[in-house]
Amino acid sequence: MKLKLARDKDLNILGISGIVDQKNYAILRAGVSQLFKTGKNKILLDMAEVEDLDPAAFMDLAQLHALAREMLGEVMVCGLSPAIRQKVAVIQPPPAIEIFASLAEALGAINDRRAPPSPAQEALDEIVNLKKRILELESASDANKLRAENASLKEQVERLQGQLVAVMLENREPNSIGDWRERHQLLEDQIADLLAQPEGGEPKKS
Amino acid sequence: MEPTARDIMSTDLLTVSSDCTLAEVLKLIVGQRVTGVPVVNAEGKMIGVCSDYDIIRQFSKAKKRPTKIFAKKIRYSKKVETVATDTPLPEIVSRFVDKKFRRLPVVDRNGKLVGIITRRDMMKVLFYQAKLGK
Repeated sequence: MKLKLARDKDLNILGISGIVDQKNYAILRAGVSQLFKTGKNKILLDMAEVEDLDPAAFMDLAQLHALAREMLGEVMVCGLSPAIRQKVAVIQPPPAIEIFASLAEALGAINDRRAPPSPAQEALDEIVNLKKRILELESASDANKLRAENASLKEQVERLQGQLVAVMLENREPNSIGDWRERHQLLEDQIADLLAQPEGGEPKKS
Repeated sequence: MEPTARDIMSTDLLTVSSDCTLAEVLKLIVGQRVTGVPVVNAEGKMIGVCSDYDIIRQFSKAKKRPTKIFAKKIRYSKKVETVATDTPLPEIVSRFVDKKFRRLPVVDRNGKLVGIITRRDMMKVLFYQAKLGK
């Protein structure tokens, strides 16, 4: 037999699988008792995966249910196979444990019994949601700020790049096409002179 | 094994934020039949408790135009004792007895409110421990 605990608000759902016989019922009882001892006395036993159930175990569960009732709790059962349900129907003593056909049916019924949220709680929930939205919008406006800052930084970078190009052009020698042409011509003349010069001799005088 | 705050606490929490009005919190406390509600910030971190006592005190201080008080923001106790999720049961019991707390909020390592233990919860625990043995 295996036990698995899940919670749905104040409801503790104890999933049971395998065979629940006289021997291992003690494990299930200990599990339920442990929940009681931590103040959790609203318990749904999901027996959809129980292969067989000892009727004596079910009688003891009824006693645990009575104990739960003392502190306004309850022990309920769901998902019994038809064969087990038939067995239980014969022996179940009062106070009867409530039995649901399935987990979904049990959760639906238990949820319906819960007190509806008060108008104040609904209003508060709405306020909380609105505040969350405001926080979202605020963080979005932070993103907008960052975007604006980013755009301004980009502008600054472009401006500085423009300045850099201007400075480079200004400092370039020569700094006009005419001057470059003159310098080019001068270099070509120098090359021509060098080519005209005999090896080891002075350049020819024209 | 000794139960801890995590085992005992209720996780179905009613909370309010610090900018809730007196009318909102008053209606919540009366409507839900509780004696106070934890005040949390946007991150769920606990910043105080607004109790029925805080509300009555706030009313008592309003002298003129009493209807205006409903729209005012709540005043709440900012000094609140909490317990960690791994606090053992005997320590929780002594806190309730020694300091006469009505409720003990349970917080995680980051100060986030994760549950609450009320006197009613404690009574159930003690009842079943006495009935079933430790």
